[in-house]
Amino acid sequence: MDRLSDASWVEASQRGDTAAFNRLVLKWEKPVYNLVLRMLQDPDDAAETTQEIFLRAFRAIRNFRQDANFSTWLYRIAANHCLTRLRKRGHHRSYSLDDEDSRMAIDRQIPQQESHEHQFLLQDAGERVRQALVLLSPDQRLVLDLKFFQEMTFEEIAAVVQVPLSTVKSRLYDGLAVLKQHFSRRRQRIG
Amino acid sequence: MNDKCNSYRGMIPRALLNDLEEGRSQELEQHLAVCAECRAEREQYLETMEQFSTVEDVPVPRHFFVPADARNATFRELFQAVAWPWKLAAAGAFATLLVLVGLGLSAFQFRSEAGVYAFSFGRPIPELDSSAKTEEAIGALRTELRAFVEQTVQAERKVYLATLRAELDRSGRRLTSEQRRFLEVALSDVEVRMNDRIVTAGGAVETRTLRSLDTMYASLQAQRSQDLTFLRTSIAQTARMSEANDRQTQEVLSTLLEVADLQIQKTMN
Repeated sequence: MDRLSDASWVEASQRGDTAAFNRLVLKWEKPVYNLVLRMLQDPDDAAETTQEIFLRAFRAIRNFRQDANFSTWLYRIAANHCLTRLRKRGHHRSYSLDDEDSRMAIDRQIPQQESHEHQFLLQDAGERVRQALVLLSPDQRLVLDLKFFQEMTFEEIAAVVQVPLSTVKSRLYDGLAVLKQHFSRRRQRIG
Repeated sequence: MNDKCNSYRGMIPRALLNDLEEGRSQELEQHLAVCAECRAEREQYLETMEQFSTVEDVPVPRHFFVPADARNATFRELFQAVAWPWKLAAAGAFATLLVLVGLGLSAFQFRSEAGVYAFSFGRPIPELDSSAKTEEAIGALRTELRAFVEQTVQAERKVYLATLRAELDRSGRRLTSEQRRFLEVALSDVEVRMNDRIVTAGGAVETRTLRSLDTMYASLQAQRSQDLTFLRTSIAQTARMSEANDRQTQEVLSTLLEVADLQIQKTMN
């Protein structure tokens, strides 16, 4: 049903119907905004980027072929836009918890969790996860988000990110291992 | 933990995400049943994934509707939207346009004819060789060449005639007026033929520019040599005739003087 309604709105949007496209915006803005927020980690930047993504999608929708899934196409635009935005921000590295330098770097990136333990205990669990995502490279973060928060299959993720299935999996398992080590260290420290 | 554990630990997240074949999944379960460390590892993965489940989407700070005129993208937005090869092509086209506008503003002129290129900023380019210009240039060159040949031949003719006249003067002291007239006629005949030869040579240059100048000069030289030989033979023959006449005259005069002497002696005796 969802896909059918998407298709009719997409068709109307391709004829230049802005209202039909805004129905698509209304349906998809929340998951897209949250993906962008987890990727960029900044609410203002995320809002601006989300607006750009929908504008770009509206201008490009005439090129969209109905045989594909609209959400896959939209997420592809969002993913590319986020990765471009992060590249423009500059250097970003991924961390391994196996070496001491990386552990220190991670500690610097999440200082409030180190210095105010009671706040950490009270902190919203979801917020903790969002902050821990900075430990991952943008590519790992994107794949992990699409898998666990957008609940996509590996094949859908490969279609969005446009990389081979094996690359999707290696990025996912590498990112998952980093976060697993991070959270287990936290638990050990807390007690 | 041993190498075997390492290989099983790699399977744990795959098993949790249903990304492991059935046989390997059972193998992993059998190992986890006997390995506490690997069970702890699986527990950590499970707790991490449970953490993910605590993440809830936050509400949007505002709606992200597109305006009715959103179709009209700015040039910058369009440029950012396309892939990099198109960006490169667009940048190249824009740069070319800028160069063309710059050249237009600087009154750039360019002309290419017959492999010759000329350009100028502001000033008009002088006419390059066109077919009419080429014909004109060839005509001028032909006239110049003809004048040169005529001048050369005239100079040679003057030298030649001067030589002939000197030869005539040298031998003419002992010539009779009839002999001198014969030689003058011969000389003028040679001169006329020389002039005819010059005209012929000029015409040949004009009509047959491809003909070698060397061949033409060789022809003239042969003719001149032939004329000179003829004249020298004539002069020598005339001189010999003159000497023979002189000798006869001397003998007649001597005889007459002897007769006169005898008559004078008879008269005196």
